[in-house]
Amino acid sequence: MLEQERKPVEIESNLSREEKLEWLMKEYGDQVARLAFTYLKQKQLSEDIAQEVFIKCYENLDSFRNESSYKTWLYRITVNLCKDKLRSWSFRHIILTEFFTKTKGTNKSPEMELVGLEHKQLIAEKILSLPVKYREVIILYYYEEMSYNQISTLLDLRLQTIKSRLHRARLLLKKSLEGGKING
Amino acid sequence: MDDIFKKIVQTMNETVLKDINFNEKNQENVRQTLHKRNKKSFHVKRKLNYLLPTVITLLFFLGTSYFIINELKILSREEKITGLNKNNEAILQEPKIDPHLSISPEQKESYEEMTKKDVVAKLLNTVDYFHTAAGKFEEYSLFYDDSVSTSIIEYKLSLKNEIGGYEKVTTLFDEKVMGFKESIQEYIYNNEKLWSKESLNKTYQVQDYQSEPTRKVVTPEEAFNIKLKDVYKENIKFRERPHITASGTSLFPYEITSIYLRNMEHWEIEKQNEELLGHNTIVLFGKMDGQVVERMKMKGTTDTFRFWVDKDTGILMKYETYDKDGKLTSYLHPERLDVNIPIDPQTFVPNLDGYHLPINTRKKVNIDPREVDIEVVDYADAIKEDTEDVLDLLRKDIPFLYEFTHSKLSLFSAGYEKYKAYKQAYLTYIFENESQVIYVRAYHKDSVIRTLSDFNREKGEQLEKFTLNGIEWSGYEITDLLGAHFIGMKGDYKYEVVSQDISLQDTKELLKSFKPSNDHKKQ
Repeated sequence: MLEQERKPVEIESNLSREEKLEWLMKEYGDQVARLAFTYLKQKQLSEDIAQEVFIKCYENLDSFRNESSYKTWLYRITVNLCKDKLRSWSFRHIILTEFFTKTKGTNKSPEMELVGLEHKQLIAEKILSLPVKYREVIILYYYEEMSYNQISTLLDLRLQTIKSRLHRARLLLKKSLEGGKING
Repeated sequence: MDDIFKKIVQTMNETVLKDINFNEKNQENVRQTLHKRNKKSFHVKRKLNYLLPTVITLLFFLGTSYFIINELKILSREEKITGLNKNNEAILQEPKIDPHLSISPEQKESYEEMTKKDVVAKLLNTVDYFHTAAGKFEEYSLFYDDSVSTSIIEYKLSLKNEIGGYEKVTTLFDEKVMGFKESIQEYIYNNEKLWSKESLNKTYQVQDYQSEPTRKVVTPEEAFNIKLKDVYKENIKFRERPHITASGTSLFPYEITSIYLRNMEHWEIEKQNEELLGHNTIVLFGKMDGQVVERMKMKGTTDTFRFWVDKDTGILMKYETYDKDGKLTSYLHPERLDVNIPIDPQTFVPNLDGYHLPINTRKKVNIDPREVDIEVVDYADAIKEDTEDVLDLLRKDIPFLYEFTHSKLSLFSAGYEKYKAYKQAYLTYIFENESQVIYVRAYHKDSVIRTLSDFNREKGEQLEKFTLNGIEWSGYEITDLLGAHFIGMKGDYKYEVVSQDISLQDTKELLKSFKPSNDHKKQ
């Protein structure tokens, strides 16, 4: 997290629309699906949204003017589609049944401290339990490693709003983890 | 606590986002949808008759054939998984574990000549080369901040037939750095459940066990193309492995291979055959790649390395790293390794006598209703530039601000809050090793402050009052954690310093470097 590499990925401008789409799906597909999951918390829905994102992206490729990076553009489409979905009647009336039971071991190595799996699972679930407006800033800032300015552009919110939401989100997360063992 | 935020990428990718990806099938769905839409517009808009690019058609045929191939691949993979599931179902219907020991094929040592590429390919795909393994090794690590850790790892696991494993990790810590000497953790899993037992507080946790589907063989190129910063978060790119932690370093050495061996020019095969605990190993010796040393914070600790790889399985039986003077700095030294031996399935059932589920010790804290009037002026953490901007603002606006100047402490977060006209400062410092944290806040004695768990822990033993750098301090031990809480007064201003994983006396020692901000020379 402290060692960030925020270099935008370049895309060759001489590619055809189809080639660009293929490239974007390969480059950003997983990230888009994962971002969608942090909003919707359902695997199938996140995949559907990610597909929709790339369909929209293809249809609007000609109108993309390089004012932002492709990644920011794709993320903006993703966030908007997810929020539409969250507001939709169908989404609000289905019972969310997916619960996170899968965890994965990590290897300890000389350069990596071992952290308990169950603890990571707990933190991840607490993050996903935050209200959307706090969850999204936590995800964008810490998980996507975006700057305040990038998040402000993406969510179309004032810089100060982003900062105070992030602060509030951290406080909420801390509170929800109280009583749990924090081993950093 | 703050460490959580630095590790969010890893935490999320290893848990809730582990299985979320945009696979070939999703990509194909996009292609198909677009193709159908294009077809529609072809009928509606005659004008496009000649403009419909052949590439779309080509894309469709390519896509379709790719789809079929892909589907076939998926089918064959699904068959594999279904096969696995069938196996699991049979076991699920028969919850009583069969006492018969599973028989694995006898392991034969390999003496064939191997190329560098052969070794890497095996290291990255060990899961294909053995059915069961049992062993014990010691792992010693020297970190860049001179702290050390030693672990003794004992394990038994089965990848086929009776799926399950047992692992006992005894970690001996440098008490000065970690605050405690030893912890024993045990992990036990079978095809239904995963248990983890913690010796310190005699607690256990249990969760559902989910086996991973078989993934395709990983090539050296694929493993070396993973960016260093992603090695630990993109686990999906490596082969599957069971839910074990410490023994994976030896049995499934995917990350360490990707990191240490990525520069093929920098290492050589030192010996084709060397006997080690009854196994025939190939010995590799190499120099660390500069980029790796930089990224993985190995400067000063790791200049060269040596690997002993079991030729028939690819298991990393032993490794050593050395500094510039050739001094041993970290190692994995095996005591024994048995491959494809029968393992009693009872090994995969935990003994929970004397262990209990963790009790939620959360206390109800009364929140001052006036706290709603506290506003955040600015806040930043984790990213140095952002944090320093907030610190500059605090220095400018808060004349009563104090900061730590100790060389081993670095600022992790800075917060600026206000209650009406009262300004409040929050600073968090971390040690180089990042396991110890110091929380600071400074505010006017009449100001309402936020209720935060870090500053509201139950206090124990109290120190004599003392004065340092103009502040009169009272110091308390924290009862349920290793740490201290110091409350200081200077005129109308109050200072709180809370340490995590640092003893009362050590925290008092650190307070010597807690000085007024205006003493600092601005960078």
